[in-house]
Amino acid sequence: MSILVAEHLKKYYGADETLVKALDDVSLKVERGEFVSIIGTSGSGKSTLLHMLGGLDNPTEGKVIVDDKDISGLKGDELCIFRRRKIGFIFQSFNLVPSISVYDNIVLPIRLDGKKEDKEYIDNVIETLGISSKLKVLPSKLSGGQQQRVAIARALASKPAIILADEPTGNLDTKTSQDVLGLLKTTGDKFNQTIVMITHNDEIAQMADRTIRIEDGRIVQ
Amino acid sequence: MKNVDNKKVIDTIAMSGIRARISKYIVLVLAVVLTSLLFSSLFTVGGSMVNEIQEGSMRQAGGSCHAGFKYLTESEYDQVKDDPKLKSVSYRIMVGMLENEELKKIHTECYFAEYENAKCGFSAPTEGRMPEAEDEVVLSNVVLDALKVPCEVGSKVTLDIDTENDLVEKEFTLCGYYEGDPVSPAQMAYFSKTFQEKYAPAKTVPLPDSETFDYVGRYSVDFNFSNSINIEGKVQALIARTGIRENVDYGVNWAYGASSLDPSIIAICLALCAVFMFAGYLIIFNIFDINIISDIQEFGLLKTIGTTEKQLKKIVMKRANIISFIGIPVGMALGVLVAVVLLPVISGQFVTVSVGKGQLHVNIWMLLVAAAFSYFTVVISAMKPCRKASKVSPVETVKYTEKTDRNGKPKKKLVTVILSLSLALVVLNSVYGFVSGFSMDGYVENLIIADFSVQDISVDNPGAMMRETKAIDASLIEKLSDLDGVDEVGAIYINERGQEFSGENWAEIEKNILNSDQLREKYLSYGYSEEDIKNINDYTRKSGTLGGKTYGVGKLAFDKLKVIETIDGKDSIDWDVFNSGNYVLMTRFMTDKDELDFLKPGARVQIRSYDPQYEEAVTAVGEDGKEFEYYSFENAPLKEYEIYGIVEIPLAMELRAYGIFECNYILPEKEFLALNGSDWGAMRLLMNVEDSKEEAVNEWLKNYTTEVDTNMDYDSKESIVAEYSSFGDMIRIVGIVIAGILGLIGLMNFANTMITSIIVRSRELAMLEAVGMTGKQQKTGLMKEAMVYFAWTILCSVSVSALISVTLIRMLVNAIPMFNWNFTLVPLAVCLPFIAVLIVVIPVIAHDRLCKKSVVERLRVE
Repeated sequence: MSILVAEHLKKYYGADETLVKALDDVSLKVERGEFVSIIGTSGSGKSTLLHMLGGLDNPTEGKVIVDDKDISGLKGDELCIFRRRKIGFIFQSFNLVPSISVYDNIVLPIRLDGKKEDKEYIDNVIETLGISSKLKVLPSKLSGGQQQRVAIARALASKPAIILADEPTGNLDTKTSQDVLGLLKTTGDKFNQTIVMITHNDEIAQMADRTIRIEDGRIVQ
Repeated sequence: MKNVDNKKVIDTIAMSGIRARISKYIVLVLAVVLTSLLFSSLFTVGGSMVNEIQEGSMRQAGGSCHAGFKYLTESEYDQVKDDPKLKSVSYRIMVGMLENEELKKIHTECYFAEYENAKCGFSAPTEGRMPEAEDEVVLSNVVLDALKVPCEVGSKVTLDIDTENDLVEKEFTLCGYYEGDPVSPAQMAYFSKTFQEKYAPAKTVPLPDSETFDYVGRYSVDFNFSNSINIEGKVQALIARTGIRENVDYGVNWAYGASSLDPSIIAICLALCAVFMFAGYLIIFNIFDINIISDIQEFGLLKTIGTTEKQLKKIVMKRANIISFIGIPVGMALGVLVAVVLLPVISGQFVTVSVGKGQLHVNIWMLLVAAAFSYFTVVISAMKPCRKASKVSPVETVKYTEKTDRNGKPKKKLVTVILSLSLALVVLNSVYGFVSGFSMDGYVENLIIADFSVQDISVDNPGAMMRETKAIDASLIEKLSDLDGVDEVGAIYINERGQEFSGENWAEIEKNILNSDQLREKYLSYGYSEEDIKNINDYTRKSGTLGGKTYGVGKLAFDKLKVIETIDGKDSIDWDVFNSGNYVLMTRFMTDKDELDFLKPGARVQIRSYDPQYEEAVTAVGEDGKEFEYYSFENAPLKEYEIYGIVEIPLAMELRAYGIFECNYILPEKEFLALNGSDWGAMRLLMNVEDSKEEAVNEWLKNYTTEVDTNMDYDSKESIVAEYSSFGDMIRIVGIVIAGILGLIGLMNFANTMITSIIVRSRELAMLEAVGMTGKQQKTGLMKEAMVYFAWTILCSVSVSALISVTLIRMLVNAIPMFNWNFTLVPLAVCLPFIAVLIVVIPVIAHDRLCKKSVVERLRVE
């Protein structure tokens, strides 16, 4: 059974002569536990696709079904609550909250939901990612690679239906990129997580179980 | 070194920086507007008041010129007029006095005068012009009203002029008039040169050589020096320089010597200035401070591409200039408008001028100082990011920026906002504490002793030169007592001649008073030197007299006297015994701290009769060897009385002009008139009226004093209450305006801080939303943050207000008689909930505005 289904997704900006078709009839399916990479050049629409899949933005047309729930009609706070329960985000620029500690960052989505964290599970995630010694410091004291590991931990913390990673290694050097990607794949396997990652780098894309190529808002392969 | 011509590029950078963050600069301009509004209104009101107070003194002194010579001949005038050190010289020539029957009580002098001279005497025509033809005249509205001639140019008026030699009765045409000051010692009537030459030709014999004291046809010359420092010395020098006779009569305008402002008012103005400057600094500085990251980043960037520090400063100054150029003039204009509204209210509380009160006097220098204050505040605040940027290397500025950004909220911002909000609240609370302490009950009681009090207009006018204390004659008393509804009347008579003592009594007074430290201290507080005091005391000892008044009171007034001590030890005085004609009451010697008895009850004193029948002309020889004549009562009889008791006279009954001793006697009305002659008029008539008739009597008195006899004036219980409550209104209005503007600044400061902090964190907030923080949760978070501001504001404003209330306000309030100090925080209790609402609403609105953009868009902004 597919955990993530996109049907005839369209996202248009502007109108008439200035009409930009960022996504033009994209359909795809991702199975539970799969590691899928979406590859495309800058401006190909891959980020827009990720935003649609993650409920950060509403499509102009089409449907996104995550864990059997159609999210294309959700608005504002509904969408927001859906995100924190079902989706884990990993951003290129880490996007950690600067004023709270690493640990608080990791459990933020759970606490925002008013729930208590599964301590054992979280400890397991933290240990796997090798950031146990950094839990009490502020994100600004960490290196880029460390920050991204915290971001991965945050994405995993709420046991989401899928993890969406937007160029997770875009701000890291090659060596660190390898480390982070390795960890992403390992934790995905270990905790049986579905991961969708976008990248413009073929080599990175090859690490995934399956690669989807997107160009000019359409899936080409 | 060669100067680089880079003005154009600097202008471009300065302007583009403003355009890039236009909203910041709009807020800045607003802040500058408010700050300069505060300054300019304070300075305009202050300047206008100083001007008014000075004009008040000048009107009392009779003119605005520095000094003048009197009784000159034409040739003497010629000697003076071209002196190079005089800035302006003008003259008038005495023609005589107006003798019309209707002007019996209005002393009116006739002159030919140059326009400049009339102007400096505050009597230049405000409508029409100075006379040219022989039958033209300029009069004041006071004179015209008395003559019942319409106040318009072209009116015909018949005048009786006493020109010393002649009594001229003639019809004139009014060619101009001015607004006369009812308290000024004399009204002016101006005639043409032709008229003067015909009826009062200029004298050629100098006054000392003249047979008689002939003032008609003589020149009065008024002049100004380049400045008002040491006028007396300058006049002496002028006399020596021009060779005019040494015994020339000259007058120096004392209005220039008088210190025109109370030190306490100056202190209040300075305090306000400091508060305004602080408030202005807080907001303008804060705006720059919360934008400091982007500013430093911009300056760092400019530095990396080779902008020198000097050039950076130029850019900052350029921007400060643009902000000031727009903000300051607008603020100034608004400030002057505020002043126009406030001035009449404030001026109404001061005894200054009786004509043209509360008029705006815009002093360009004052406005320039106000502008300089505002500009200075802008420059100081604007320079800070520039200085900070100059301390770090260009590359580090970027890092520095990031660090500050990530460390969250800098504490300083919190402090400025809280100070700014608290400042307004503290000022409001203090003003309220001051105003609510205003309690008329105790004070006004002292002022109101009857339903009505009727007296001559000059009696209670502190600006009057002469007080007419015998204006109420028997027929007026009869008329007033016969009015419908009048229950009782009580006249108060007064004789200001002072008291004579001898023998045992004088020895007692020397011991009790003249040798006392209290008297010495009182003299010292009046500014006398030890040597002066010794001389005055020696003179007093020799004379055997003390300054003071003898009052004659009817039963109504007698009942209001406060009894201190009596001959029989009782705490009241029997009217019938007192009225028997053998007794007198006496007051005490009062200083700020003590009361001393002149004499004890039971002492027997002698009071001289001032019945006009005993007045006799006496010829004496003066110091200059010449004989002169004066009128004396030295052979008038003395009558002996026993001091029945020691009393205090309520303020409302007194003649409010005081000497150093105030050794006063109180006789029964009947005895006073028996002693001084029954023609003696009363100073004041107190009236008690049936409640239902008060309105009617009030109408009657109003009509009488405005239509029948404009020299008479009356106070009603209501008018006194109204007068004093208007004082409360003034403080209230001024306080609300100040606290309102400060409050506006405080809230603007808060709003600006909150909004900027939300915009700065827009990406962070978007990020939180991406990981699932709902809008509601974000708003709650922002509100919590705002509540921190609020909590601190409460803490700060409540504690400082309380502190000020128990210290400063208590001190101030207790120093003023009609105020009682109460601890209050009511304004805070009223305002804080409103502020709480605003503090919560502003971040929510700002957040909503932010959320118009989608999460994706906001995330993209780096």
